[in-house]
Amino acid sequence: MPTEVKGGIELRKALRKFTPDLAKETQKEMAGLLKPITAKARGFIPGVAPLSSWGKPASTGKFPRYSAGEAKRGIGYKTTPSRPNRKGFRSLAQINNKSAAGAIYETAGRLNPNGREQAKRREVNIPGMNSVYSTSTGKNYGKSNNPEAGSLFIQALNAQGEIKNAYKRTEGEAGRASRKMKGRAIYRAWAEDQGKTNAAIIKAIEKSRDKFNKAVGYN
Amino acid sequence: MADVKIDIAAEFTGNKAFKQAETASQKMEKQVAKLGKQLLGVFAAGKLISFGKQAAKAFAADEKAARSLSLALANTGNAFAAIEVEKFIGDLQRATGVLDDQLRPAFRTLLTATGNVKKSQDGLALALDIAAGTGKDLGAVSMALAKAYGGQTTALSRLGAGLDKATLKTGDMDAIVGQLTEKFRGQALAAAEGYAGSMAKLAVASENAKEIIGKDLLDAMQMIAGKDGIGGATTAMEGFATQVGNAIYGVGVLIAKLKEIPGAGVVSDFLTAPTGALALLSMFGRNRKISSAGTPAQSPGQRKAIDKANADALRLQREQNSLKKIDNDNTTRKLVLTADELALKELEKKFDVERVGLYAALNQSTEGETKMRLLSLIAIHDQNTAMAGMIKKANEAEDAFKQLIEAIRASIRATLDRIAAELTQLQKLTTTGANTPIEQQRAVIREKLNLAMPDISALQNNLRLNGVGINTASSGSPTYIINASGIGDQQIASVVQGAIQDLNRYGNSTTYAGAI
Repeated sequence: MPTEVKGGIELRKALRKFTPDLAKETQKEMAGLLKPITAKARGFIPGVAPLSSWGKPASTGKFPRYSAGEAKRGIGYKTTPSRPNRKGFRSLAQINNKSAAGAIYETAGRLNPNGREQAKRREVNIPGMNSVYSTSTGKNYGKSNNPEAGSLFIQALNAQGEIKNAYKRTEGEAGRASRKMKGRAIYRAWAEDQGKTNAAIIKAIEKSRDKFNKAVGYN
Repeated sequence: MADVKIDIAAEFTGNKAFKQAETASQKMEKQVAKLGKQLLGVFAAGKLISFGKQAAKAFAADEKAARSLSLALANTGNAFAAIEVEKFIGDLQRATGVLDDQLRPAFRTLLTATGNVKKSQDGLALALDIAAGTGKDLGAVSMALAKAYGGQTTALSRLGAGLDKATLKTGDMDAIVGQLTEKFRGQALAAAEGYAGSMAKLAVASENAKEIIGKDLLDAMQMIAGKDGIGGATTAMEGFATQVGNAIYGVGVLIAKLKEIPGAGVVSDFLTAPTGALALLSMFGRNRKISSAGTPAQSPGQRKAIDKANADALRLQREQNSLKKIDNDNTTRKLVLTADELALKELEKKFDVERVGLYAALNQSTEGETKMRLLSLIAIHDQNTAMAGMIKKANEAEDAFKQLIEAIRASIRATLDRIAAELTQLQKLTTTGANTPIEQQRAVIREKLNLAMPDISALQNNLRLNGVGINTASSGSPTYIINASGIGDQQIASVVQGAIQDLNRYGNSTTYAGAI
């Protein structure tokens, strides 16, 4: 869960309007703080596909092919405010993992550590035919012919890098614990940073606020 | 695919749905407030429309009854008494609290039966008393009386008035009326005295007010409707009533709000005081009614005569206008000619040899007196009074200045003469008895005085010549204070320079050794 600040968006608007140079300076400072995190996260991306066949072009299906370069390039940062999410929050900076393969590597196994449940199958005996049908076509069930496919995939990814939880729930915090801060690349890097970058960014914002107030003669 | 990202320094700003909900609620609030105002306006306007319709109807009914009565009077040969009858009915109405809507038909019934205004008036008064005494309807009583005047006394006997059958059988109306008068005298007035009577009088006043407003409303509508008249103005009437209703409501709200504001009572008083804005508006309307109500019905001949008079007045006005235009044109032409004449004179001045010579001499002259003389000549030549006035003032100023200088000189001369006289007397005192010690001392003093004092007579002569005053000091090195009012800076500088040059020439340098 990100640290909530107040007035950051307004500050950024004011910076851009009245002190554009200071706005650019702030963005550069934030970028300088985020770069090491993204570099570290890129370092967690495996150089080869965790499963050898994942890196090969697929003849059928839509499952994205793994490319280490693409996955690394997909990890980046953003220092401009985001659009509000469904709950009405906007962030001043973001670290993101945009590539499809990178996102799979990042998140696979955080909901189902042993892979998705295998869809149930039903045998239908039709005279002259012997067919087996899946009882479900939903995305929450594995449909591979190999019932262990999901579990094996997760094990292979875990072998490359463990899932780390970047969200440290404070004692007595209200609400449900989120699992969405777990991952193998950016979340791991963020977790290992132990909040130093976050604090540095907050400090940078406060510093720019003070500079802005001084520039406009507020205090 | 879920977003794989880490949000840093997030801030709650509220999402679009919140804003939409907020905006929608604000809009709804505004709409409700607007609707409330509109409903209030509609109700107020509805009431006003209803009242306006009732007032107009009341006036129409009243006017119809009045016309009917007027016609009845005319038919019975009593048209001359129309105004008197209307006044009688009005007075009766106010006195008894019975509406003229009832009085007029009753009077008409009696008039039709009797054919006499006096008898009808007495009959109506009696009918009112009987109606008040018996509780019967005035219309029924007057009809019974009318029938009795026609010889049918049955209806009269059924009124419950307690008349003798014998009297009724005689059909003598004087006797019947006398008997009825004795029995019911003062009933109507007595009835009008009590609470019910007061209420009836109030109702009368209310109805009259309604009729007055209705009349004014119809007049106003006629004014608005224009040539189409009332018949074509029913739609406009409702619109007008709505607008008037809104305006009245608005004024009411304004006054109420003003009363709520501390210190705004002045404005409220301005609106509602007996001499306030509303009173002035009322007075304006009344005056307009008086001025517009004064046009009586005109015969075709009168109309023709008025049209002719209007046309004559219009023609006269046009002729006056054309004459004024000619006059204005002449004035304009005269102004143009005057300007041309002035230009010609200016041109003449340019080529006037004598004038050119005078100006040339003026430009070349350097002395003030000569310049003034030349300017005087130019002023005489040009007949320029303004310039002459200026020259005269300049001469006067110069004379005054000269007189001032002369007065100062005279004052200084008188002072010096007095000093010279005193010195002479002192010298006389010091020249007697030269052999005595005292005389010797005096001689020493005299010598010192002679050394210390300058030659006063020489100074006096110099002063008379140049007008320069000199003061002497009694110290060893005399200090000369020169009052150089008549000498310019350049002359002083020239003298100083000459003196320095002389000193240098004689070897007395004014600068120290080695100075450049």
